[in-house]
Amino acid sequence: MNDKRLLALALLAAVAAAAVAVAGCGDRSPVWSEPATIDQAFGLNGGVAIVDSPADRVVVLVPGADQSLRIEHISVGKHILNVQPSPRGNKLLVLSAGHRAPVGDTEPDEKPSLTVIEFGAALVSHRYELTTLTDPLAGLAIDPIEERWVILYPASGPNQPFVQNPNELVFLDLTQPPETATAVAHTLHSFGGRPARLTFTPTLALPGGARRLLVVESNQDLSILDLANPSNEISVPLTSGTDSRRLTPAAITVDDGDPASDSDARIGVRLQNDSSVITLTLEPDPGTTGFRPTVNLTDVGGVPSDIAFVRTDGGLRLAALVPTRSAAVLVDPVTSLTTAVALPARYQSLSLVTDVAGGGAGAAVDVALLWNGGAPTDGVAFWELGQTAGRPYRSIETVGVVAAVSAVLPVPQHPNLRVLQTSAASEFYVLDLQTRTAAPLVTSTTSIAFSMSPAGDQVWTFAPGGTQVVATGILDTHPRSLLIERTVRQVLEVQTADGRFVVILHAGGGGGATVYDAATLDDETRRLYSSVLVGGPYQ
Amino acid sequence: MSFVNRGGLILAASGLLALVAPAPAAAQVIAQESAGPRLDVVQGTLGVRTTLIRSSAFDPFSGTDAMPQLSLSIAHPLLRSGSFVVAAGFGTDYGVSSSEARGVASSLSLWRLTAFAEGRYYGRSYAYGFARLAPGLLRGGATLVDPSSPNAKNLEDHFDVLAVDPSVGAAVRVSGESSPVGAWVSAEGGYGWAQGHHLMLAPPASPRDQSKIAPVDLGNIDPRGAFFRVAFAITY
Repeated sequence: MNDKRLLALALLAAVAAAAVAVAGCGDRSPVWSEPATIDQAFGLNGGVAIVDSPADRVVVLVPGADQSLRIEHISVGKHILNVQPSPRGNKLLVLSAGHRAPVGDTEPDEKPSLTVIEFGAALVSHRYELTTLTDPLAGLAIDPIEERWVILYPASGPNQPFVQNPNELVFLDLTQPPETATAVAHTLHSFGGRPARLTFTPTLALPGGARRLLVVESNQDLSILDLANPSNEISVPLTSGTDSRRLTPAAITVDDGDPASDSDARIGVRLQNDSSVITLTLEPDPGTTGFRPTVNLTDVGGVPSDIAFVRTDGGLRLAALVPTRSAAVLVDPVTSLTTAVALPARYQSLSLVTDVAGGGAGAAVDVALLWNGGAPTDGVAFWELGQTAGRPYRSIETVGVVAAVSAVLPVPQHPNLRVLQTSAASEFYVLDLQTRTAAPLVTSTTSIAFSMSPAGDQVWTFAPGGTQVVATGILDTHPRSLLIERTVRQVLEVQTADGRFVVILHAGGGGGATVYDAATLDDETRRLYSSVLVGGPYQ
Repeated sequence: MSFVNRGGLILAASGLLALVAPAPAAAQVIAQESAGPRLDVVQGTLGVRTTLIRSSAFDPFSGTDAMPQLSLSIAHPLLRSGSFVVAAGFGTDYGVSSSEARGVASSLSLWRLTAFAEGRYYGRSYAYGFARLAPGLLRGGATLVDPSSPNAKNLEDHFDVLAVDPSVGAAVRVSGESSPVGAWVSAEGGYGWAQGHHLMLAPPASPRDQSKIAPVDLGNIDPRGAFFRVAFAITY
């Protein structure tokens, strides 16, 4: 073989080698190599939102005519920290840490951000850049009343900043457009505590004008902030300087008092580790806030499990359930005098149902629903506060529910109905607050999960990981099962412009979905989808 | 692909063409006095082809943009005029690219069947350059092995589209010239064009169930792009 032929062969080999080198070029997005899992999904007004964290996006499934499914991808900030639906179900808020690009990093720098996805005729997203933050706050609280305020607060858990101020809150007003909205940071005047719960109050008539408050419970104190001006803050230590114990708040309740008075708004506090309840009356004060809390501490004879301000025929009282005494204690917030009311069971939870089970809105006396008893046959009871004074025993009316009720679910569009979830989770009840009757429904398995139809006409029950899904009519309590081929992760009924649909999400693979017409529940017209999370493009 | 790689390819291709370019005048006279390149009856080729598919719908099926394929062809010289030879034949390329798409096993097969016409210029008796035009048909098959499939069957889509490959290349004979059987190696580059197709993958289902099972939309795939092929050929 002569030299020229060898040279030609060498060149051919060079071309082949170059071709092989080129073949290795053109990497796809690394997201393709990440698994697609349905970890968080939300049923919202107009679609189902699935959080696709590895892809830094939210996948929205919008059911339409003939159970079609439009799949939309909404990009959010990198490295999702927290996702919350708005209480009205028309927004999804996604908090992202962003990305800080070191030298040589091909991924661009990105500030922490809050993406607000609005559901409606069209999906719209707004990105609020949190430019004042370097390390993001992972906690996210949404104003449940106006959906105006979003508050970021430090969260515990892994991947938190090296140094963080546990008492720092960041306020963001969602009524402002992202271009002009400014995140306002505020550090609580802490007595050493760390925030544990945030409560948004309704508008309260307060000295200096009606306004809304944010009440922050820490592990040993309480802070009251003006939502519109967080620097107007009052911190209330719950632990006496002469007491080595730390009193830890467990929950609060708020009452505006007489609408005509601006000096009788009150905050009730129950404690995790003490038998006292605390009443804070917000009275006029010449300081910047215009009010100051007057503290009353009242012993109710046992650690209370729930509290609520109630109207009795004796006036406003703070009602505290004390399971260890099988009693409720009514505390007069003015005099701190107490009245114990014996209960037929160790009820741990109460909720006011005056609107439908009592005299209606504005009634002089309240009716409370008691539930979550300790024994398996405790069921629920109605507590007529109007008959309490002097005749406490006759004010309690039990309902024939022979199970411990663990949760009371409201029924949309039907304020007179509640779904009672039982502790055994092998049965549930539909409770009519007006007739005070409870219709039982028995399931063939335990550990069932519930979701409610937004139309309020059916409750969905399913066993996560199983293939059983049943819709039970709220009014006729008639159960109808669906034909499900794959294991169920979540059941979400949504209303869109094309009708009502129930979307059953299936775990595994690329994420599956079965879509039924929620009005007909016809097996023949259902549609089955696979790999709903697989489609790109990816960033 | 970096610019350096592209430049290297161009340089290599230029060198190869220079080798198969006409010899100096004196040698040319000798070549013309001879009978020209031997006209073999048939040429069979086995090679490896790599196509660069930039289409985003290819991403679920490959970690890179490369689609490797095995190539087979058979050609027959039809005409000869001096150092020029015109050949025609049939070729096929088949390959499967497998990957994972968001944790779901995926694969894309492409099978190309072409009839080609090829013009060769023999600069030397042991080397020639060629240009080829190969119209044909491309059959594709995409598969997702998704456990969330409604009937536990793979999601699939198959398509047939028109294709055409224009390419240029060069070949060098590695066997002795006295042997009646010639062994050649060749390198070739070109552009493999094919029609696009919208990938909609669905599990096979009976006609009764088809309306219930919705396909997975992976978007429009354009299975076309630059390609390279290295091959080993036997002529007789």
